[in-house]
Amino acid sequence: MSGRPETVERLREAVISLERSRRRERELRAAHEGLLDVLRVLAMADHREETFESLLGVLRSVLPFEDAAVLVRAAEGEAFTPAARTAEWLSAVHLTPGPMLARVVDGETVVMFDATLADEWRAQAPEVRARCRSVIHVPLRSGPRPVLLVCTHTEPARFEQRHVEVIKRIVPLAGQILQKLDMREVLSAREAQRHARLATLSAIVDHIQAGILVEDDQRRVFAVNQVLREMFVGHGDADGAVGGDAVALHARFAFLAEQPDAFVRRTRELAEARVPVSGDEIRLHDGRVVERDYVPVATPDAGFVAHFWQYRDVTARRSLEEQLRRQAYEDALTGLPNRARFTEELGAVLRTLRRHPSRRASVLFIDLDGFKAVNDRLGHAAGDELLVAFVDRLRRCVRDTDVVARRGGDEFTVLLVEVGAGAGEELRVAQRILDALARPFSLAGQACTITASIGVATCTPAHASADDVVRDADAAMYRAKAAGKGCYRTFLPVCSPARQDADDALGAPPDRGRALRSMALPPNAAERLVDRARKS
Amino acid sequence: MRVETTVETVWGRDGNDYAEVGRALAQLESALGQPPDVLFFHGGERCNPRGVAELVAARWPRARVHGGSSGLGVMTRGHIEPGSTSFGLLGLVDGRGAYGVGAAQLGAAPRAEVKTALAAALAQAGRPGEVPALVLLTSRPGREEELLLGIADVVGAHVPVAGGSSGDDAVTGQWWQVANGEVGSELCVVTVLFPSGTVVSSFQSGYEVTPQSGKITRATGRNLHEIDGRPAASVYDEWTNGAIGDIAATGGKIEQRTSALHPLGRRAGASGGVVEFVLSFLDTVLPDGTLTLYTEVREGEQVWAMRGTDESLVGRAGRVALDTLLHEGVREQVRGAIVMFCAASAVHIRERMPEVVAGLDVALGDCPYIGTFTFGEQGRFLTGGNRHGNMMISVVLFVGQDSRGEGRTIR
Repeated sequence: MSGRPETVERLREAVISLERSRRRERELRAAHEGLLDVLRVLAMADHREETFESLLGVLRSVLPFEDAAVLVRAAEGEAFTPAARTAEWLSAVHLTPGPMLARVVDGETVVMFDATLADEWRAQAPEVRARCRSVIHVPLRSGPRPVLLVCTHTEPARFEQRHVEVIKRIVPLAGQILQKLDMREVLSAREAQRHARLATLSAIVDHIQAGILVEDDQRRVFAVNQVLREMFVGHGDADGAVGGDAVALHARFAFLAEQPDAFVRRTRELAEARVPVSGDEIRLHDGRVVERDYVPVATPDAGFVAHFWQYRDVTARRSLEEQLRRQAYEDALTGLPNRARFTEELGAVLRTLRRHPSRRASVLFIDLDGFKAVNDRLGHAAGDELLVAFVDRLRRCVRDTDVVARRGGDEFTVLLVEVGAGAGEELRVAQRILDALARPFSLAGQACTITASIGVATCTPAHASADDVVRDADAAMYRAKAAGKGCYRTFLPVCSPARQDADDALGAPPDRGRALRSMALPPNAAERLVDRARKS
Repeated sequence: MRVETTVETVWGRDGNDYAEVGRALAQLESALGQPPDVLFFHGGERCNPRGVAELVAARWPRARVHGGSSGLGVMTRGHIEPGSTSFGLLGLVDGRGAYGVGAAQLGAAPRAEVKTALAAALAQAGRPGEVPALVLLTSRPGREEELLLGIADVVGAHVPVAGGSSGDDAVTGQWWQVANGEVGSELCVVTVLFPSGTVVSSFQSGYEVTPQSGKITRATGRNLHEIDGRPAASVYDEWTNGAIGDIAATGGKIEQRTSALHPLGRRAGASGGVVEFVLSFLDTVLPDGTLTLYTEVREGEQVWAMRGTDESLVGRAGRVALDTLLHEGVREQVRGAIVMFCAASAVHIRERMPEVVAGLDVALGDCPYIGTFTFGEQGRFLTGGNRHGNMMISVVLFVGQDSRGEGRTIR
């Protein structure tokens, strides 16, 4: 150089100034490139381990470290331990917070030329101390569960303050990566929890002993359980119907119903009305009976969200109910209606008569004479056989519309409906019954003849209940017993001796005549006691 | 939270006047608003450093104190007080930063001894093992290169070191150093800085390199025996057109003017076409033609004759400070500065020192600073590496930082 010294000096200072600018520009460019790299990592951060590796790759371009670890502290007062590391020896790091780490937690990046001079690292195992002379501590996250990054080098004094300047630019982004991964983990955990809940729910639904179909608000199939699939197997692709058209699925189910149109129509009505319904009965072609419940599902937040259908195969239950019903109303031996059923039928007739006073109905009370002796002589099986045979003959004596019932033992009642005016028709029936017994029964290879005593009572407006009518017929039956058995007697509300005689003459057997003509009111309680005693 | 670094300075004419010292301390505390966390104390050789240090310790027992003597009094913003009893104080408050001062008596092993001082400083800062932002060094002149090596041994060569060797009025060993309450003349004092903001340093000379150059073929420590196989004095005399002709053959003290304007230079580094030189002040010529210097030189090094002018010496301090401010991008947040200015240069341009102050005032604006005149400067070149040189200027800027990015505008 030549020229005036001041000028030369100024020029030289200008060149130095320019070089200083270039240097600063280079540093800034390097820092910005590092930032861009971190941004790329941020954008692609997916898994914690991969992100850690990518972040370290960026840091290696600005910091000459050998190993690194992400240290976390689970709770206040606990030690920092590695959550991720580049080398196995770092797994032994167990940093109890001291004054230096407190500053890191507080957000300061601390660079050490010899970490073993700090209390936190001095307390580490010898193999750790040997590898971490130079350490830079970078806070990644503050708060109750702080996270920090440590980069290490086995030689002292490898890290500089200028590294801190670059890292300070990167740290906030690294913190964001961490936050993003944290959030992703939380979301993943929630998603896994949601899946687990759905799986549990699905298992529960599958174990429900009813067919379950859930549709979303667009009537797409949301869930179908195994029972429903089995219930409608071969009739609709229930297995692959999730997400499919629930209306079409219902239409395919309809092919099984005895009344497909009614099934489809009712289904549509319920889905449109969105009103809970329980116990719709659907009868299927194959004899099965299905009950269906409908529940519109709503949540406080979203309102209506789903249609819930439950199908229960109640075939067995209905069969059992029918059996129970029969047991409640039928006599097991003869298949005749029992006393309760007869009472119901008679009550219904009485109500009809009240509305139609011109109509008439009568009740015959039949008691087999000497049945106990047959039982005693031939056994209970023969007795039962006799009862069945008697019923067969009895049925032949009445119309199909009449009701024949067994009250118990050898007592039977017959309800004659729509009988003509006067007492002639019911008396003829009574006589036919007596006549039907004239022919012997064949029991256990033996001929057996038996007679019956029959009481006849005609329903009147005075009868408040079925029991009243039966009571009167019973009373009349005892009159027949009293008259020598094998005959019938009608019930007379007020019995004068003359009337009684005339009446007795009507149903008296030829050989018994007036044997019991001394009947008087009220009904013969003494005779009942005698008869009961005889039967027992 | 607002993070603020506060720097203020005061000066006095006579450190022996306890009343004046007391008033200065009170004035400084008032300006800072509280006792300083760190105090930088410089003054002339007869400013009563022990007495001042005792007053400081009594008033601010918790303050870290770093100090050393100056060859030409002290300068502060708008003022230079060249008397040998003058003193200047720079107080710094930085509650979120950490600072520590340590000292060691220099003996036979300065490289080891400075490590003791450094360890003590790190311990006082509460940051053992941590890399400081900067190490400030003050020592008696003579072994600075070894001190720099010792510091690098501990914290690494990359940590910036700024420093100035304590001077006196006539190079008679009347220099002194202060570390906290300790005062001595054979101390090396180091302060480690972990500021809450940043600290920026610059190290430059203001000399032009000339074509005259040669290789050092024989040297011992600070004695330069031969250049290109010839007596160094003869070679230097030729390069300077007979500037030491009268003593080149017989020996003798080299004139202040000659050394100030024609130091020797060695390459400190090069970057981007810029070659930086570390300078050596020439003290004497020995009868055998050996040149004694204020820096060490080694055989094999290339040495150049440098050339300076009064103008370049007067203006460069301000320009260095301004250039540092501008290029570090910290001009808006600078809070204070320490300027270590070569005492030889200052003595040479003694009459024009007010111009130097004016230049610094312009560069640093209303920012307080303290200037000390040293017998050797240490600093970090742009091209890297901490070096000891003469005829240099070493500047340390304290840069504040707050959450709102506010700072004073320097005009």
